[in-house]
Amino acid sequence: MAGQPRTVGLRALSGESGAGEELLVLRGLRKTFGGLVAVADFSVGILRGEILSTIGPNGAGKTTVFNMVSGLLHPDRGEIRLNGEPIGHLPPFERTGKGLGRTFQNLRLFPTLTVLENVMAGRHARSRAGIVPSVLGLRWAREEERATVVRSLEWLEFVNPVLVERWNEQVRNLPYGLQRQVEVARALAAEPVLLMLDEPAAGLNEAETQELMGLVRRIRDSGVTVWLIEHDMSVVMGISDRVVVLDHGEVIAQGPPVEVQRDPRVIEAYLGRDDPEEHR
Amino acid sequence: MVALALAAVWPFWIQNVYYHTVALLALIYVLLGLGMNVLMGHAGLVHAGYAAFWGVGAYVVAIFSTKFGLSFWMALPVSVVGAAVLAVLVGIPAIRVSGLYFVLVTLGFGAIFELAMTNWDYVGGPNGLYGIDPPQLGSVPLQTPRQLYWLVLAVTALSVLVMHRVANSRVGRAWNYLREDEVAAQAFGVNPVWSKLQAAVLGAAWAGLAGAFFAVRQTAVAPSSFTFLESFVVILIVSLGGLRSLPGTVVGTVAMIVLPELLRPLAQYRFLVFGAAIVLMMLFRPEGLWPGRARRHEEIAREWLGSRGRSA
Amino acid sequence: MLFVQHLINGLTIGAVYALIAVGFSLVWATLRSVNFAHGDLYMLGAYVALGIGNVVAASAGGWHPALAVLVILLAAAVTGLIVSVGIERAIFRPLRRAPEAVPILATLGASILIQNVVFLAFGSAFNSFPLSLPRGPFTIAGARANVMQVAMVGLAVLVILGLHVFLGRTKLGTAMRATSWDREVAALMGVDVNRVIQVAFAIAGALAGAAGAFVGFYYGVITFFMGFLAAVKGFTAAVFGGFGNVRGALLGGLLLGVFEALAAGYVSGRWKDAIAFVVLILIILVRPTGIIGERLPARV
Repeated sequence: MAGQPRTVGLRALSGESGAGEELLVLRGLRKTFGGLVAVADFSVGILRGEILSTIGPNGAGKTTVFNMVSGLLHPDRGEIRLNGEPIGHLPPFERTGKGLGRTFQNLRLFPTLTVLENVMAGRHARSRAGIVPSVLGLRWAREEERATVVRSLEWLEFVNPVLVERWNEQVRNLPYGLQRQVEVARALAAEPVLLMLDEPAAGLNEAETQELMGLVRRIRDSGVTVWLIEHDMSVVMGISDRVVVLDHGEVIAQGPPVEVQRDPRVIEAYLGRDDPEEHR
Repeated sequence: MVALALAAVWPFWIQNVYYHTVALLALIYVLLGLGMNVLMGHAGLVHAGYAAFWGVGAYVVAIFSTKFGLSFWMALPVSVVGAAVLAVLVGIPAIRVSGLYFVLVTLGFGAIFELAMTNWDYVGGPNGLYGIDPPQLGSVPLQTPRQLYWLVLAVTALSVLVMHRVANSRVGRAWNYLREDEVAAQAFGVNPVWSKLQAAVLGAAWAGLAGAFFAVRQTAVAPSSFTFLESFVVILIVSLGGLRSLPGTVVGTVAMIVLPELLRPLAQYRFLVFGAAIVLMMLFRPEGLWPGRARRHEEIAREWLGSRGRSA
Repeated sequence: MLFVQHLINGLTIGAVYALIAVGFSLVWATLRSVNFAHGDLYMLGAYVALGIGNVVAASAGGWHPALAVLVILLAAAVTGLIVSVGIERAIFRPLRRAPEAVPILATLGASILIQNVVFLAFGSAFNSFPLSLPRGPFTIAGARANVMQVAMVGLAVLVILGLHVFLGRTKLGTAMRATSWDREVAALMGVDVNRVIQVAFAIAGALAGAAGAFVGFYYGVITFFMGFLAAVKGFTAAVFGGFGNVRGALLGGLLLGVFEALAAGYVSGRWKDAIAFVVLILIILVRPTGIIGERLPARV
């Protein structure tokens, strides 16, 4: 497909280090709200090129971990390294430039803006024109603007060609499933090395879920490491290379999906609770 | 372009000075509207102390002229920079709070500015300063309303171009992202404090510019011209016309400034109508009279889609 | 003693601020919005008082002062109530789902509209209050005070504390607090949210109208644009005391009044009106919880 953006291929080819190396390292992350411990002690290493899933009952602290990594929350303690570089002290808007991209559990699109404008947000950290170059209409600024639009359209096409047809519609008028895809396209437009998806299958029907799984594989194949939080076990088991299970703010198991599925502690964490929402 | 040409030539046919003064005032409000459009339309910052920036611009020109005999052209950059500096001073605390609290904090700052000018004897207290010299172009003083009108028309045309480019830039989009969802905007690399300060500075700079021309139009300044009500007038200009729309700002100015002036015979009723019109607009057409959105990125997208054989 | 004099004057005007503040608090608590025309309900109250005062003054034989005051207060309160509920029905209800700024701008329009109706009816001059009521002056600690002041402050405090008790004890009060906590959850629990909001506007309007009548009696001079500054001060008082909190509004109003009186007395009368703004800015920036009350809900 011609819509595949050049950069994806480039990164896959130029990956200075091969798969299997640790891309993101979290060590001893802890977060409490008031007296409530949301995340007790979270350590994990995410390997370059893998699809890692984090599962766990509601309230286990999964989204809190995502928010700490993307910088929306400050951990009480612990370390966050991306490519060996500590990023825990950076404000969220500087982490994008370091290679983090994410989606949100409850969609956080810019509702009254168009599909294309939403995806262009992903390009913000990958462009630099300020007020003066834009007003003067400097050549490089105009070219950057053009690249921003074209790349964004290419990412829309990569995610789902249907989105390209609807590029100029207000995003809030799109069906829910397509809105989720716009969010993925926006995150990809930031050209992350690590894409974090917070419950991407939530609210999707069976066909949309299948489509999503295909998309996640294509993203990984283009050279982006994927970390997802997911409730839908068919998704988790179907696409993950590894699974980390979180309960009560602590990691209780990790490993390949088949092993984790058989782990007695995991079974207890899920079945020991009377909450049908957890084991769909 | 046609509109600009018409705006430039009509004063040759219509010689009535009264119309020239009204048109000049309208242009000054268009400049104010352009600045407010950045703050409120794009960045979502409803700045209720906006008139203070306008006031700074006007007072700087007044002080330069009446106290030191310095020319308008020396005062003009100081007006713009002065307003921008005040915007930073007010902005640093104010942008930490959002929504209604931002409105109230800025309302407070605006009111304090007005009170400060009223109580500062150096600038004439409640009476203000008068006898401001007109700007000189070469050795020609631009004295008549028509001459000033042409000067401000040129400035406005340039401003429209600048604002159009800003709105279609990376920085302009960042304001829109912040307005729509601050958390998501941050997650994609927008620094909220820096970005909002940029909006505040740009908006205030245009208010300062408008204030400088206002001072020479009136040849006098007084605190009563810069009350909170003036801030609301500008807020309503951009809301009624249509946020983020340059033609909307012009339409809003016509509705808020020109019509009331021309309807002076019915002066008693004009605010009554005006209040009712605002209520009805918000109820039935909250997006404004002329919501506009011709965007540079749309042209690029259509071009790209066209080049790939897709319909745009 | 001068200090006591300032204190008395401050409490008197503070009672007026408190009555306006309660309205802002109730509307905020139930609707999370602000009625910019709230100050104009207060202005309308003052003009209704003026109108009835004219009738009373003209009627030969005269009324008993207490009866006159009671009738005027009630009429002012009812006027405020009707207009307030009208604003809720005409503006806030249809715009319940509109962006935050839309209904607020609409009430700004309503404010201009109401002011100009009054302007056309009564003119732009300051209108003198026709009725001079016996004030019953006395001195306390060397300072001048009068029975009317005591009655005003006392009545305001009683009404507001009564309202506080009402909200704490009755079913309607519970519904109101539930709405304030989370409107959608309250609606799911069977609370008639529209009615709750309407009641909030009714109480807010009645108190503002009564406050306007008070000011008419007390200062004797009213004008069509008196609502704005009063609204700013009432709002400041509400934020000062702790937004969305009835007792906080009372405390905030009285304190703001006293601050202003002290500042006018000891610093400069010219800067008196700046006090409210300075307090407003500082409270929002430094202690947005107010004196009593939970944290202001920030929009993230």
